[in-house]
Amino acid sequence: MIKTHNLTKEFTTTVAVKDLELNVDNGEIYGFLGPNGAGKTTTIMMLLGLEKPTAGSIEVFGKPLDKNYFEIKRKVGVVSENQYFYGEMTAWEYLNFFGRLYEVDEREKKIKALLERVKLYHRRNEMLLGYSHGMKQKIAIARALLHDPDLLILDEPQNGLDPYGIRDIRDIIGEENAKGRTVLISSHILSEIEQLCTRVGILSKGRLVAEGPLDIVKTKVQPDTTLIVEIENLTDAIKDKLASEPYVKKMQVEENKLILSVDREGDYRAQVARIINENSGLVVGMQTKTYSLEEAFIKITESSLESLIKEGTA
Amino acid sequence: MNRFRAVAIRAIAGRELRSTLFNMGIYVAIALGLIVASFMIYTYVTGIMEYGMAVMPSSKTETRYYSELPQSPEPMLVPLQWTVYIGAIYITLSASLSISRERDQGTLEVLFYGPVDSLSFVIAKFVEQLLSFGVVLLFYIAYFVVMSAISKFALGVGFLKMIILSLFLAGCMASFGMFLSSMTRKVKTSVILFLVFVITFLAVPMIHQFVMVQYTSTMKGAVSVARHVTSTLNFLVSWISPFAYLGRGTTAIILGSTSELIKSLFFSLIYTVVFLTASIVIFNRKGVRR
Repeated sequence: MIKTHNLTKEFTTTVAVKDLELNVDNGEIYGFLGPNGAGKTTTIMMLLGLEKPTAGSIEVFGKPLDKNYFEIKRKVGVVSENQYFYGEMTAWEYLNFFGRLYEVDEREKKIKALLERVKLYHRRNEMLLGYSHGMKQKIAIARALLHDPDLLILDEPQNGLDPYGIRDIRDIIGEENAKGRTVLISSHILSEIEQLCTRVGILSKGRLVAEGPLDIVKTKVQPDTTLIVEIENLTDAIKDKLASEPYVKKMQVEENKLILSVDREGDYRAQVARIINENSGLVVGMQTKTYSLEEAFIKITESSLESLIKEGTA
Repeated sequence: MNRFRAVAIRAIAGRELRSTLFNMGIYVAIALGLIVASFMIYTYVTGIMEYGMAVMPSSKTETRYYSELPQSPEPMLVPLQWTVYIGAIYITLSASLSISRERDQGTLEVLFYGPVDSLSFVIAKFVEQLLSFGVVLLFYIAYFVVMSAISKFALGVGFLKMIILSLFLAGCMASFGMFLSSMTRKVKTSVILFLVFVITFLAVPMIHQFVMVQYTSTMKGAVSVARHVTSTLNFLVSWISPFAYLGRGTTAIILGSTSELIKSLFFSLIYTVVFLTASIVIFNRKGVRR
């Protein structure tokens, strides 16, 4: 769906994006992550043809963007974090204008359906100037969906929204993806990305430092699973026995807790519990800890760029 | 032209025209033009009433009378010329804000998320400016037709030629305004640029005329240098200033020289194409982001 090759954007004093190899597959929800200034928005702008790359190429729908600009743009819907509207227009007029721009068939019917879907039909004749942040974002979503795009590019679509707004937009993205639309979403709300995305790419200092399915990206950050076992009567025999087990990679003791790094591939909870019981201990509690996307994101982006390129790029 | 581009131009120009018609600016420009024209026509009528002169305009007599009379035998020409000036200044101002305002507000970026490119956007804005001028002109024409009926000042071929000329002038003005607008990111900067250029375009010929009539027996050197400088500036302004194209065309109409008028229209067309092209190039370099 989207394929970039050696995509590079240099400004006078900075390199915003360097040799980016981005692959977004048909029908997936791709999370495009990175700290502020990583080059996400510049990349999105290049994908939309609004910034000219210094080097490299972009293909969307299997066609070069620069040679098929209009054809591609008519099949892409975009929502950005920036809410810029013609304030003097009503929601209806605004969508009607974009409907004309995209030559939408049965325009009025579609506008009505979309306004109803974002629960703003009853306010369709109000000037956009008076709309709240959340309402404007819903109108932006409606605008992006008006022409039934095959690809949705969403740049921080949930920024500044309340939990209801975040949920509404998450639901819409999920529903649209279920209809077969491909979604590229950039967001700082990593819990949302975790819920929505099938694959993620993490950009740091203009380079793609990790890419792949969510679990695999997390695995790269944390190859082992951490087991935290709370034990009554924690003896040296228990510690020695567990330390000698082949799947235990690392062991830490904190008062009556054992923190074990075990091989990620298997589930060793029963074995650990049995060893503790056999050595006169009693398991009071046990929990498995894996990295959240947020922890993985922070770890990846904080690591040295060079090492991440070697080990992290899928 | 690419069909998608044509669709974008139609949609954007339509939206812009609607926005213009729902704003006060265009009506202020129309009113101002009509006030100036009314004042001039009133002056003519008063003169005729006081001196008992009858005005009998005829296109055939234009050339012969022009050398003998201080003004055209078509008395509506000069008021029309002034109203066209006012309308054209409005179009230049409007055009000089057209791109920078959208860039400033961020709506330009959102618009370009859709199937719009710099060529379609600039052309759409240009078309909208021409259509706006067309609306202004319609008001002016209606006004002059009514005034002609009341005052008995006939509207001759010169009037028609002036209307055609004014459309070409509007093209010059709009393309020049858009050229200014493409260079700036802020509305404030555009307004300042507009004022600087309009004042320069109007002031340079006046200063040049003033310098040329100065007595040169004293301060000969200084006057000579001033004459040289203002002549050079005046020459440049006569090609850069869109007002100069109206001036040339008006002179051709008053003199009844069709060939000069056609030449003037041709130069106006070239001017428009050059400035529109420059606008697109600069717009591309500046980008759509705030």
